[in-house]
Amino acid sequence: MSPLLEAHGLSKHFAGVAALVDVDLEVNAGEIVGLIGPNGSGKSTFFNVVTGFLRASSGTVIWKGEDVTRNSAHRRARKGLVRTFQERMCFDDLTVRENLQFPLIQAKSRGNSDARIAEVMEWVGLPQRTLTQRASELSWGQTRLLGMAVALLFTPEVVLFDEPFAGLNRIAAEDVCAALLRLRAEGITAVVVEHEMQLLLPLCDRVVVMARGQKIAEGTSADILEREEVRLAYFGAA
Amino acid sequence: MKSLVSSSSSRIRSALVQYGGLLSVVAVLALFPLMGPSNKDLSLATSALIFGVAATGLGFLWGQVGEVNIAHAAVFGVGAYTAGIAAQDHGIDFVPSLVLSLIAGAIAAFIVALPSLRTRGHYFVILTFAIGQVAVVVATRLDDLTGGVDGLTVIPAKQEVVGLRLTDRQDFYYICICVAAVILTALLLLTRSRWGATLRGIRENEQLAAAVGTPVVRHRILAFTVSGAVGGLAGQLHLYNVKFVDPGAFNVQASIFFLLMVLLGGRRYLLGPIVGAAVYTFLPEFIFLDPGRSRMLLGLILVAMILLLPQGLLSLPSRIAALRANRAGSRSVAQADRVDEVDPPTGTGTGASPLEPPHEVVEAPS
Repeated sequence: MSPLLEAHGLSKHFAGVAALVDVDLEVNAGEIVGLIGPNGSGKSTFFNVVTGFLRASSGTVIWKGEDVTRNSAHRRARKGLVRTFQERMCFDDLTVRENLQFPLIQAKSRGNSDARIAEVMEWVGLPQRTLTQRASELSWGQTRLLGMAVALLFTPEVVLFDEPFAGLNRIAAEDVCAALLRLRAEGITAVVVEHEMQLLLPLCDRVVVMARGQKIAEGTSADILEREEVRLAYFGAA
Repeated sequence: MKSLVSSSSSRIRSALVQYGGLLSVVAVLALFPLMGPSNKDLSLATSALIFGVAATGLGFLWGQVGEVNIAHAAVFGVGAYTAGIAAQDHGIDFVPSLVLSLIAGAIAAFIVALPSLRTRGHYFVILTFAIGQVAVVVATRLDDLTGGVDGLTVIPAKQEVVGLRLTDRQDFYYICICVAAVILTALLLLTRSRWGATLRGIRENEQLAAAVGTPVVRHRILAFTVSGAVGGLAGQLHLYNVKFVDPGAFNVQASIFFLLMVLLGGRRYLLGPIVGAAVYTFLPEFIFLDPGRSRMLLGLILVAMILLLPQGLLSLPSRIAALRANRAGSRSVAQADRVDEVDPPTGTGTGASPLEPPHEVVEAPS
């Protein structure tokens, strides 16, 4: 079976600075792929290029066999490639309910939207009592869960989670981790960018390590931890 | 599921408040001539209504999409010139010229939107400012069409619209009310539609909206076009009201006055610009100020509004309610504190026991 998402030789330069150099990645249906690397390794740039928020300097993005490199972000989302954001994860001045209705409106979803919203809130572990609150009134951790719920309500085929544990304390990070585990049990396909290896590695079927804009290693969580180049990239010493 | 089920009742309540508010304002406006106002007051009310409609177009864009268009007065001018040229050169009647001005305003706003949408934030505002300036220069230079700096003077032929005479001050006021009611109802329907929800999502977080499949640029251009259609239509009413249009009527200063009207009433409220236009038009009259001093006063009001009531006059009731709730909340907290002070250390008082976990863990952003 061919992969759902393929990136071939993706590069991105900013005014001559190479943020991403010749990166390849394949994501198969039903797997969770972790994308790790130290700060400035090009993870977020890769995410932005794959999802269409940045235009690639070279390389191609293939979605279910179709070249989508020149498609805009919203077109890629409509094809099933949806992402979350590290910052500004939701529609701040709207209520939680309005946030959750937004992707359903965009998907021109018919049927019982309230039931669908309740189902996804349960998946991600967002309390029902928050529905009437403004998103800006939620805690940082709940905002992360809301961002995940917004992405999931668009019924994507692949979700790209951008640093889902960023800025969370231990309890909130465990809530997000539990949400990701529930999604994994549902068979969702996901790519998770994160530099918190401890939290990420148990979630992933496969891990890709990036450093200085390049892919330096790929394998299972256990393999990755043994690799010398990974230790070098993270700790500066083997 | 209880909170989900209650959503329909809150939707009905908000619809009643919005449509009821609209109906009440239209009723009050319609009753105004029955109070025996002077000709001057009736003229001022007509001007306020027309400016209010124009500002409503701007308020729709600002409130729903979060964009400020400094070229809005230029769009208003395009509507006025279209009506003037249609009446003067082609003898076109009021109703067809209303439609023509609406279309011309929509096209002008569409043209403004195209290059502007490649920029964001302050750059976007500056670009629309520049477009507004260019429009004034173009109108001044095209003297064959626009009359140049002398402008166009139009004396419309004697016409009646549904039995109301254009030349009669009171009848024309009623015509303006009818047009305003139709426009406000249409905008309210749009605001409450799925498209309105989409625009508010774009306003709050453009990137997230695009990430869940929203063609952001298309919606923004469409919102600009709707806003421009309203501005163009208001320009036509303005021409028939003052029978004259020149480039000065739609310079950047006029745009700033429209912005002030929106800000005064409240940009998130459909009726905000109408309220703002009424305050803007009548306040200097009530306190007997000459034009120079009234501008100074309006400047001071603008500063005060931004500092004290940034959501506009219509937000005053909710602001007062929030202040009361805060005061009541702090009073009950103070009472609870006093109860805690006399409670035994077993934690049976109304205050939370230090041994119990907090009800909700609040995480702080890093």
